[in-house]
Amino acid sequence: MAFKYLPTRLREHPNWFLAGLLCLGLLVALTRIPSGSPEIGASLADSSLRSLPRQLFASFLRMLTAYGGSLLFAITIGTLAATSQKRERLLLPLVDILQSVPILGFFPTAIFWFVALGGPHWGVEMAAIFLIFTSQSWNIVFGVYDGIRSVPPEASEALRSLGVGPLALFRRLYLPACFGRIIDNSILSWSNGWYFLMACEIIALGPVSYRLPGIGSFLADTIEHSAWVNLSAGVAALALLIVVLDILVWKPLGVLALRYRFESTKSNLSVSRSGAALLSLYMNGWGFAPIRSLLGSIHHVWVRVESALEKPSENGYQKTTGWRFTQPLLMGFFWLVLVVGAVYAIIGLFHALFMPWSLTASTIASAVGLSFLRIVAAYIFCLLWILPFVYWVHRNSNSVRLVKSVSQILASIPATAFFPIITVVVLKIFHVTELAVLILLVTGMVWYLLFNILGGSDAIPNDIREAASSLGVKGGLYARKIYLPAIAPALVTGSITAFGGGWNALIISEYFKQGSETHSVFGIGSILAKATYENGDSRLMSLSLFFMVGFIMMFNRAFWQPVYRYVERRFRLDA
Amino acid sequence: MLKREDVLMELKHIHKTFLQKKTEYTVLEDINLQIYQGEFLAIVGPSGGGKSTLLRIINGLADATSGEILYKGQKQSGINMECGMVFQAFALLPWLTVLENIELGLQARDIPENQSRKKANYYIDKVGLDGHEEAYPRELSGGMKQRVGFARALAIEPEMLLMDEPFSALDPLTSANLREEVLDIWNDPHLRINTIVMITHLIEEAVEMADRVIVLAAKPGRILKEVVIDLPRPRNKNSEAFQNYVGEIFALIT
Repeated sequence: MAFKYLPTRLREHPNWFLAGLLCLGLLVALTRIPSGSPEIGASLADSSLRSLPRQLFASFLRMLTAYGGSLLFAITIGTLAATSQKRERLLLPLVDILQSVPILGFFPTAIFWFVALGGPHWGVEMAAIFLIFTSQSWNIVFGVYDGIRSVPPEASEALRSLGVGPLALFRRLYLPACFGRIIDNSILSWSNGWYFLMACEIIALGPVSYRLPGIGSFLADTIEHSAWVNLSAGVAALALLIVVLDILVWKPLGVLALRYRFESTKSNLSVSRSGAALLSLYMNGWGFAPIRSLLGSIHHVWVRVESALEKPSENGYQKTTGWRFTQPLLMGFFWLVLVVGAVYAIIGLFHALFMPWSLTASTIASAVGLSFLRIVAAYIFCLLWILPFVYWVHRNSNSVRLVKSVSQILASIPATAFFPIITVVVLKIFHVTELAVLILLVTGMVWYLLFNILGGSDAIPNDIREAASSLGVKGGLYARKIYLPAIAPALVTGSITAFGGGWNALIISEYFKQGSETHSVFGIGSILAKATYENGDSRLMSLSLFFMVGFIMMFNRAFWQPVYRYVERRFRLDA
Repeated sequence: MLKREDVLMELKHIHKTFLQKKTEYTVLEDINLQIYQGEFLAIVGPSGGGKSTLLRIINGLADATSGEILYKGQKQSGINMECGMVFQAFALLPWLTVLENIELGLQARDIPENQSRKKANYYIDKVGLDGHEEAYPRELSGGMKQRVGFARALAIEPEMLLMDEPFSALDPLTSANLREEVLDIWNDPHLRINTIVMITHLIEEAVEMADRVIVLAAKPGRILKEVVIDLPRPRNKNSEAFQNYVGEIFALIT
């Protein structure tokens, strides 16, 4: 797990109104539950060790499918937003709103929709993939956007003056330019995906419950049956898969990404040696020839399509007939979606606001407030130990590597896998549900803070550390004048992302099942969970999502954004 | 000019090795050096020759693998608080004003606020930064930034000033001016500082400023020769004697 993504550059005048309206339409559409409960195929629980590899593989396939979708979606949207100011004004705020929507809130209704679409078995499968997709996409969108926007203008001008058309420009310049950020964010997306995969393989919807074969179901089953050996085997297998993926896929791709860096300055980027070795094996080893030729033919097809659409002529790039037809078609479709979404949103808003409210609906505001306080409490708890801990790591520089690799391994195992264990232990010892909720929230927030602050302390230049020791600056003076200001930007980035993680974790933290018992505390997460899992009240769902997202957006605009701007300006390390 | 009897610091058999990818690299090999009270010592050598490491060992920022340092006859361990260091890339804190940057070392010495303010202001005047007290480093030019670096090192009133290629990040005109001012500071009888050790890769710079030039060889770094520059100041770069010194050192390095 690394950092959640923050866009560094937002151009002027984002179209919040239209974007908000579109999101509202989406929200209303997604929370409109069709009458009658869906027929869901419930597969049998299987927590035998023999089934473990199969279940792990099923989860992996689910993740892979969702990731493929996210990648396609993110590259398309990110490129569209980064290459036109008009599109950017709509798309960026849209993605910004969508990324602050707690994913799990949509999940139960997504099941209804997909079951209607794909039948009992595949519908549930598609819903799970959709949920994972939404947890993986947004940060990659911002990564792609930021990567393309950081291309020096001369580079694209040079290519365009050579007569290169938009598709070729994308292949030759934009895609390579954001490749590194795609890889960085993909790693993050995968850990996000694992986190939510655990939560979506088993869900009870009112009277119906279902389980998909997968590692999430496997772990939940072993806990239900107190099969501790199988449980540890499951967690170990999952951790192993994640570590293997990291070594075999992400490390080599990370090395490959170094080639496409635009910045020519030598920085303290360390090249992973195993990654470099594996990369050259993939590039040259005969065993990998089929994969290479597959990628080669994909590239070939792309080039063919490109040259069909973009005929080079003597006066440089000209729109071909293909483009002349497809472009208005795409634009028309885009506007159709826009208008339908907006109309839907307005109708939905009236419907939700002007009908008599249920009793629970009037408590939404105080529920949001209480849940917010819970997140703040969990946040303060995290900071109280992370700040001194990272300070200690920073001052004992030989421990940095160890701490980093240990926490990376810990963070790679999705905390949701441990939720049942945490709740059992906390409730057994303290008998306080509130405490269990807080600890669950902490697991959803802590890594964002830890890794951002570790990264920030790592970025303190060596000569500043030397100047400090040469002057005899240490202890409290060092912490006050050097450590805290230097990590301030990373601390704020970490805080923003940790709050996002916290809001997301609310729905699975404030309301959880343990065995046959349901535990819940009053808060927006539990209102949302009850509305969806217990009585399918779509109006209550859309109202609570509306208020929750509204509150998150307002808090981000009114608090985090000014703080972020100030800290970025004041504590940048580039003097 | 040189009073050889007053040894301020003595380096005895300094070795420094680094372990990288399981191979041991010798950076410094058997460095024996005496630094005299009141002298301007320059250390020149090819890049990657361990010059900076040597300066850091003198300050106590890095530990020698073996060997010892005597400061006024006492064995030195940890940071030598009598040394002020000036860095090549300035190493200023971007979130502190000029004044706050300069006060940092004084605060580390628990000097009361009104006194440290007075001292900082005194050195701000000395290096010609008056009027910029409340500016932030990123608002200053490179030359002005390095003046802050000098003021910060001088404000702790050290006996010895250590300079790690202090002029190499500056443009030629600025560095020429600053060189002259450093010599003025060195000669100023009101200031406690009277000994300077400067690292440089510019032979002319070393000959222009120093009483004595230590020529280091690279890989491993060891002392090739010590050249005493016996020229009256201010020195004329175009004189034959000056050029002879430059030629002599140049021949040693290449």
